[in-house]
Amino acid sequence: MDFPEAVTPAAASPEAVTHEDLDRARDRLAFDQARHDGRSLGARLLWLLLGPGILAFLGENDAPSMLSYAATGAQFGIGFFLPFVAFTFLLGFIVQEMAARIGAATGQGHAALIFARFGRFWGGFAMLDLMAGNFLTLVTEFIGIRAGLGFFGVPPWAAVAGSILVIGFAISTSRYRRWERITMALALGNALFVPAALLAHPDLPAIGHAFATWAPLPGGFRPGTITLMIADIGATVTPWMLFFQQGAVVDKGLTPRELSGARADTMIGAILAAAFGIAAIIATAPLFAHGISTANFQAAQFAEALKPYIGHLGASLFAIGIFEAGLVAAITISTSSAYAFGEVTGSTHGLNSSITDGWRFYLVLLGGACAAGGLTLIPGAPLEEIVILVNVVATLAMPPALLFLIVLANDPEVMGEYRNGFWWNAAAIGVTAFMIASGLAYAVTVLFPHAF
Amino acid sequence: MGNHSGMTQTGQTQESLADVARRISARRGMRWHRRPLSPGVRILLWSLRLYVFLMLAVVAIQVTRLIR
Repeated sequence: MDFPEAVTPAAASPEAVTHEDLDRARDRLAFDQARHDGRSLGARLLWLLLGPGILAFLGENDAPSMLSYAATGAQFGIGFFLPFVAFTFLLGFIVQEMAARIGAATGQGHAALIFARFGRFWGGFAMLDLMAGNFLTLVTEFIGIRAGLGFFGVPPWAAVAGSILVIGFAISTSRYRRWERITMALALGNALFVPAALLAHPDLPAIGHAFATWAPLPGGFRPGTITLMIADIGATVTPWMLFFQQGAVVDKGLTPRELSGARADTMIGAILAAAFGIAAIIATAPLFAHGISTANFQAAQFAEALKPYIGHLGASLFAIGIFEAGLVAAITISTSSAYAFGEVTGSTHGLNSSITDGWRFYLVLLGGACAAGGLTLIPGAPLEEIVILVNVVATLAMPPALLFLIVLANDPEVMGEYRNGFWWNAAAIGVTAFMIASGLAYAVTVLFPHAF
Repeated sequence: MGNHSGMTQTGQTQESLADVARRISARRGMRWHRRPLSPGVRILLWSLRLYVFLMLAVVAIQVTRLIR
């Protein structure tokens, strides 16, 4: 077993082999065995390598994101937003591939590298953006969990407590691979939006026309349209995904040898998440067709409003989908916070670590989820304002995170031969410019609403 | 590593597991020094930090309007 080293580190401290290292070594041996097993034509190896990319993208198809897509379908129907959402996932792929590549090339998490290469001052800003964004987003996940299960009459406290128990169960295995497979199984619940969309009897020629022409866009580019565009971008490209995917690639023990597998994992994640997000838009398009106002709708209200058009079954699938989206995101976002915390403090971090060794990691993971879930149970907490804020804030906080990412991906000392090429840099800078331009357009609509 | 003999089936696998675990451990222990930031990167970092603060002010304005 030999894997290429991408970098020559400035310093390497002698580290004792830990329980975590042995677990990662076992995973690496399984990759190697699958690589030399010609019978499955690489399918077995790909199956083993799937995980970080799929979880990052399906984790980001979270409760506020699916509600953004639902609001998009209800306000604009089938048209401009279908190809636009697909386009945002292309942006997401460009960004997440870099995070996966940095993780595989260096074996280090995103927060650790930012602190090492940019210093504490800039690292502190990156952590502030991440932790504040993650906590706000976690709160919205529990709002989604409450609302989704509320459709079936489950009381809020039971929904929150049950979800925290599921998160606790997933991490109790102290094994990355088991955690990954449990969370991936849960994440496949995101596919429930597909049958919900089919029950809406979608107009297939209209869908084809929308993808071919990026039209229609009822009402044109009004302030509300631009806010929704920003929210849909924030539903695809956010800072926590970078920290999560790079940390998970490291935790899984991937190296440059698995880069093509990591790219395939990221691509499959982007395609699945785009398909499920578009399905949510199609599922709620009947509300647009029947002129039903959905302003300030929450998950359960969407499901109730959809009943006459997609039936009780469709509405139930929609509600379960929102619950699932919140639950999976609560797991992945808590994990991204815990990875970053462990990397910065130098404490044991990783889902292969035992509860005794990694108690700080698990405390941050579970403690963040408990605090966010608990906040949603406080009577009078400003939950609706947080939901409105969260995807927009994620989009606005993304350009600085992209700058750190692009500088790291071009750092010859860190990346060696795996650093960005010309075209990938052009694409990454294009994504950053697009995000900044979208933010500025949003600011203009807020500050000068009468200009539209 | 001998303490983990129960986790493997053959002596050869044991050796491979130990070898791979050592490599992973060495990779985990990699440390990088701080990179010197060029004036261009510094300007970009400060500009984007300012961008975030201004945008958060814009979000605060919109939320205030929504609450009213």
